[in-house]
Amino acid sequence: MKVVKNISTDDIWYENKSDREKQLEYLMLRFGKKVYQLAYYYLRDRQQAEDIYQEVFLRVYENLDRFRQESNYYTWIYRITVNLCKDYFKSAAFRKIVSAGISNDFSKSWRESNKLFEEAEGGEVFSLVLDLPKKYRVPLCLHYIDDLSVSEIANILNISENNVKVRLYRGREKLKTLLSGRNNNE
Amino acid sequence: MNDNLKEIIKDESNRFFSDFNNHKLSNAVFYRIRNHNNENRKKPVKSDIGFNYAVISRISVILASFVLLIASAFLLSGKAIYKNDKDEMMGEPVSQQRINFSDSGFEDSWITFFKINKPDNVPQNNLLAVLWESGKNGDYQMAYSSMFENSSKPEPVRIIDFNDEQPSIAVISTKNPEKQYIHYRVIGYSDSRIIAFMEQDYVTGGEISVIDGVIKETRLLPENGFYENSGGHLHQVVTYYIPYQINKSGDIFTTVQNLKINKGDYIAVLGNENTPVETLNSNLLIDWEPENELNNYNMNTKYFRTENSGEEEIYIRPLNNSGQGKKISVLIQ
Repeated sequence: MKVVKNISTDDIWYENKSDREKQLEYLMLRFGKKVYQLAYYYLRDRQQAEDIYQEVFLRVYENLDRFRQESNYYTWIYRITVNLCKDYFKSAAFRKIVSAGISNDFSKSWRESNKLFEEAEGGEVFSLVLDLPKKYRVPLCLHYIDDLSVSEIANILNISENNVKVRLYRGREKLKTLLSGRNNNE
Repeated sequence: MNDNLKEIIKDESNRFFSDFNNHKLSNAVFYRIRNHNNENRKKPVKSDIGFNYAVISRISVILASFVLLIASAFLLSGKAIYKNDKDEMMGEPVSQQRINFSDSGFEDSWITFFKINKPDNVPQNNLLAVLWESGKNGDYQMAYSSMFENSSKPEPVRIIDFNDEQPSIAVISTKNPEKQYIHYRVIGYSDSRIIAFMEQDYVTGGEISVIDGVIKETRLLPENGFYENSGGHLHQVVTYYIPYQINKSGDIFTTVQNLKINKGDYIAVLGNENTPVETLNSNLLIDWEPENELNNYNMNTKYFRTENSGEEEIYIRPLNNSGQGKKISVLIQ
């Protein structure tokens, strides 16, 4: 497969631009796991993260022709992911669940099951990071797990770099509290 | 944040996301793209954000019906339930896990663990695991259930994916943290029905995990073969269960091609009891018959033990037809 040279760092643009499926396949291979992880940082639910993955790449597929490389692929794809995750929290369905208090026990057990997964298949510290409020855990995970810089996180989350720094600082402080609580219990 | 903590978070995260299946998800995306104009496009790979509300509502109703059903059964037989404190409640859900486990590959399934007592009302911390599958009308039906005696802690359900053609299999387990034993079930499809490929109860010091498509079971066994007279001398036994399935043409599918184990570990080839296989191997893998402590094992499971290091191959082929077999390379360290 031929590759056009002089394209920005992450971007490989197949010569056959009309072959959108191949492009999509490449993008899923290249960014799929990161998209899934980012969605998980937001939602803490494997199935929901898988749903978001599908939605993200369907949108990528539908908009491939319109992507003008004003940003890198990963910024574009991550932004779609963030927007879809935010949409989920704003969705009527999510509000209904919360406001109607549908099956509190059910949602509690669902959260507990997810936590059980995180502890069993990851570890306690990872699970504690995910226990942080969303506004802190997402930047923290992107920075310390995905190795993204402050400016990249600011770009993806559409917030200022200062804001990212503040969230990282507060997130670290809160994590320290959670870790010391865990150590005291042991 | 110090470097050590960063490393821990990264390692744990890598472990957590290690079973991410990009192939399966990208197939789901292509499935939706290619069924763009098909009315069923949305159904199999539900991504509609409103979906969970509907599922939760339905499941709440189903759970309520289930509890009422149990209550009715006991009341009709002249025995009252819910008469005492909360510990004696029956049918109280303690955990619910949404899983991708269906012979069509895309529909949702749920596993609910209910705390449940036997009719004698002696509190025992029994758990009843129920697998719900979405039916043709979008409602949920009980597809499998199993009782886990004297164990209070449900463990995460492990799903083992086969290829696109074969349905997944699942490992359901619970633990008694005080007495340090587990129960587990390996379940899969047999002609669109879910059956247990293997059931294990009271596995002392037991741990179950899925590594690269193989089920790793660890248990403690007494040195002299008898728990009563062992004097507390137990040794650890590791068994790797290689799952297999047979398609309609009679060809064998497994989830692994290469397996690395330690000398002294055991290997077992595990599948549906209704689709028996035979295995060919040479001297490094020694046929082995499990003893009584492996209760409820599948009669067609082939067990091997390893005594020496080296490289070995197991060839699995269908017993009753001429379908294609499968070769698995084993490195014994």
